[in-house]
Amino acid sequence: MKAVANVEIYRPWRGTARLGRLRWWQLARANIKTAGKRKLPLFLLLAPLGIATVIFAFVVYTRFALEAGETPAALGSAHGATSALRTTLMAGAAHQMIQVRGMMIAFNIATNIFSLLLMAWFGSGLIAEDRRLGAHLLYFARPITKLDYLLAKLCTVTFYGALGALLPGLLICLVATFASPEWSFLTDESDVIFRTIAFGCLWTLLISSLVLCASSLASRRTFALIGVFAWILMTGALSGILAQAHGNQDLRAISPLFASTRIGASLFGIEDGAPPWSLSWSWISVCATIAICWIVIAWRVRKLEVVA
Amino acid sequence: MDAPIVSIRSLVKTYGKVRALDAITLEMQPGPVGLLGPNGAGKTTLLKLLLGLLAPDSGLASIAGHDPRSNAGRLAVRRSVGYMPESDCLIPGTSAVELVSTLGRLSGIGRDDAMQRTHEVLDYVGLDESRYRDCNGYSTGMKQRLKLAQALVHDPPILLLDEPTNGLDPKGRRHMLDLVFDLGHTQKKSLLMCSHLLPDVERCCNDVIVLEKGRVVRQGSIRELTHGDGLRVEVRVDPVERFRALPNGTVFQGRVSEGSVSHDRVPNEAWREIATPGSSAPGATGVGLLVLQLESDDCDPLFAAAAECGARLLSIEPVRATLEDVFLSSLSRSDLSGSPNSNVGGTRA
Repeated sequence: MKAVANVEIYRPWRGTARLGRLRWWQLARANIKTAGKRKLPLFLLLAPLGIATVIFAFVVYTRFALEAGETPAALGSAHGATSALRTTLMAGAAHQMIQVRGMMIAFNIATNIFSLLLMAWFGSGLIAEDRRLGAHLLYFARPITKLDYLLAKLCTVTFYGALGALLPGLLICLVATFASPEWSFLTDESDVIFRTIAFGCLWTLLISSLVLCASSLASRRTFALIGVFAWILMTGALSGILAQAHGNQDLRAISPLFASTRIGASLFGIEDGAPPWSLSWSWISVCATIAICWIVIAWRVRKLEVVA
Repeated sequence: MDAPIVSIRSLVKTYGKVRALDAITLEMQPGPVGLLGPNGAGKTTLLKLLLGLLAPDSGLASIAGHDPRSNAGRLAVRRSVGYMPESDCLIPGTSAVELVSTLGRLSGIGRDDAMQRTHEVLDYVGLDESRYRDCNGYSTGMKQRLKLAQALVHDPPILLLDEPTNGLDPKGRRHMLDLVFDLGHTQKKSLLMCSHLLPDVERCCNDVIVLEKGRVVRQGSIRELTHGDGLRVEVRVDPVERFRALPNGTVFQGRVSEGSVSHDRVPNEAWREIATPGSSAPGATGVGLLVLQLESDDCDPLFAAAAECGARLLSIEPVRATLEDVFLSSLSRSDLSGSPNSNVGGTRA
């Protein structure tokens, strides 16, 4: 065997380093890519979402196709018909739209569970593992700030959250847009798109804050994962017990999960079947949870960069 | 003399009741400098303070003219410094190429440049096809080389290397030392190499700073330090017992270990015996070999002493101290001078 020696010479770099404002994006991209290499959990968590999205898209398309097939003929033959018949037909079409809207709301809320799992799985190790391995030393030996670091971590976890909370809903909206006759979904129900985005963003922000908070506090990814689910389950159970004990349903809003469900119902305009706890308390609960989480994250990340 | 690249004034850092750095003051000139000290001496703490990864309790530290206490200063420091941490800090799931290029981009290098630069530094440190593999499966040597590569990716003028040969086998250690030597001497980079392995520092560095219990106990060029305070000479004497019986020769009473000894300075003596290697142990007769410490490079007192006792000096040869001698004597001085603070453990935070 021939011995091989490293004969490479050091080549000085002649370029100029430019620190752009989007330094955090480089870190976020690397984190997203690294997390995405765990293909099995990604597949297991995204497959049900994908299947549900395809099925639901088909249902929405079918409903609109049926509506499109009936309505023109009915309206065409109604040239000489009375205005009462026209009104009846339009009411029927409107009823179809309301049904689709209701289904989309239910779909959005159902997909949130998957987005919670996605964010918890891919986000729980982001800060905890950096600290355990000492990888933060590599990052903070570079000209990045704590804000860059936090934005990168937030971007990573929200990316996976958006895959579950936003993307399926928006795909359904897209199908509905193209399947609806005369772009009626876009002209009459475009608010559903904005409400879907708003609720998806709120949900993603809430859960990503919880996940990053747990990750910043835990010493290992597993502990952070347990912490996230323990927090959600414990606040849910506690709020239920307190609400029963005091006979006050507003106490349900203590749980960020219940609170966000109430906000979701309000956002999508469901008032009759809305959960019985107060909307304002739900907002307070969600905002307080996010604020506390970010205070904790900022404190912990400060300790990562500069230890006083 | 060039402007110092590291300047520290009365720097104090404590962890609870433990004083990791005890008001140290030093200046580091450009070039390769070794930071020596036993475990828990404050070496890693000093590096982290320079990078702004730790906040000092009091005092000033600047590197490349930037104060890492302010946000702007920290960013400026990190642009001009490459840091190789001691800990096994690589991220599982990433390859060497991904890790180094990402860190290069974080340092402000453009995408294409970062990739090209990544391959250049990985070539330099000798990571071949394995650079595309998940670094989780790397050997210790490969991890150390990868850590060095990431410190070099933005071609910083200053390198802070924390135990670069830690855990390496002899071949890997030699390779790493060759790289560090090349960076310090051929590439003319200023590097602060933190180690408790004296031969590594002696091989790669020109200057040395010895830390003990958070204080600087020695600082200077290795060449000067290893020449000692006076001149150490090896003297062949016949007969040795006459010479040893002289009143102005102090027979060494302490530990003798292959010519390396610790001892107290005895003032106002022209020479003193500090070792009796081989057959010339105290009590021996005939031709004997003595190791003597002269207070100056003047050997006349030895000739005078030999004439007085009727002994013959067969040869006088200078003995150069090793860095280990310097290090141990620095530590023993530090112990003798007494230290009120306690310092335990190694790297903190």
